[in-house]
Amino acid sequence: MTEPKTVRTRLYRYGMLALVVAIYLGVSITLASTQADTLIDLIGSDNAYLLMFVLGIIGGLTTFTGVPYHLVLMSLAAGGLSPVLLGICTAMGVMIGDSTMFLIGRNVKAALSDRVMATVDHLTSFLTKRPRMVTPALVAYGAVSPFSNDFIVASLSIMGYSFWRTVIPLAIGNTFYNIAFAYFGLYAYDAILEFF
Amino acid sequence: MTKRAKPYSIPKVIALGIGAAVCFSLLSFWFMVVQAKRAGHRIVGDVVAVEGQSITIANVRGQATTFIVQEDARLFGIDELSDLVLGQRLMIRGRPNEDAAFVVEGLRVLVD
Repeated sequence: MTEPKTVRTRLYRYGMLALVVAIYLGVSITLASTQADTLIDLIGSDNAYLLMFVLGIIGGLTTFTGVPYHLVLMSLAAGGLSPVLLGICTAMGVMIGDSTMFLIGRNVKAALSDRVMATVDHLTSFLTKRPRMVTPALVAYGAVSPFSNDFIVASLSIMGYSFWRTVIPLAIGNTFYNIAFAYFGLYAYDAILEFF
Repeated sequence: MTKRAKPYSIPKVIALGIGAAVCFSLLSFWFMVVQAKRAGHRIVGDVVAVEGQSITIANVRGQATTFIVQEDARLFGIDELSDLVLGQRLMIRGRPNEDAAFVVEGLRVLVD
C-alpha cells in the first residue's frame, strides 16, 4: 500500500512549492505596491541602499526576479535616493546572487537532462570558436538585457568557464544597467503622469 | 552506439526569454504607473533657500518650488528647519489644500 503515500508525498511537495511561490509573489506585489516614502520611513534612507543590495541578491539567485527588484530601484530613485549608489548596490547584490548560481551550476551538471547538456555543448562549441567575443558579449548582455543572468551564468559554469571571467563582465554590465534603470525611474514618474 | 540528444533550438530559447521578459516588463510598468499616480503627495529636491518656515527646493529638472512648512509638520533627520543646509536632498510629503497650495505634513533629509 505505497500508492496513497506517494500521492500524499507528491501533494505535500506541490503544496510546499505553491506556498513558496505564493509567499514570493505576495512579497513581490507588496514591495511593488509600496511607495518609496513608506519604504524609506520603515527602513531609513541609508538602509534603502542595503535593501536594494538584498533585493539584488534575491534577483541574482532567482531566474524570474518577480516584480520588485527593478521597480523598487526606480521607485527609490524617484523618492530622492542617489541613482548611482542605488545602481551600484543593486549590481553588487546581483553579482553575489549570480556567483551562487555559478557554483550551483557546477554542482547540478550531473543532474541535467541529455537535451540540456546537448544545448550547453552546442553553446560551448560556439564560444570556443569565438573566445575574444565572450567578455564584451557578457558586458553587453549585463548592460542591456532585461533577462535573468542565470541562464548565461549557469551555462558558462557548466561549460567550465572561469568564475571571474564570467561574473566580473556581467557585474560591470549590470552596474550600468541598474544605474540606467534608476535614472529612468527618476525621470519617468513625471512623464507617466503627463502621459496617462 | 547511443543516440546523441538534440540541443534545444537557440532561437526558440531566446524567443521564450524575450516573451518572459516582456511579460515581466509590462507587469512592472503597470505597477510603476500605479505608483507614479499615487506619488502626488511627495516632492523631492535639493534645498536652495531656507527663510524661517519657508523652504525652496529644486527638483531634478531644476524647477524650484517654495513651501511653507507648518509648525506641526514632522521633521526627520533634523530638529528644526534652520538645521537645513543648502544642497541637502529633501523628501517633502503633504497634500494640496483647498487653495491648491501644498501643505507640508512631513519633511525628511535623505542621506546620499
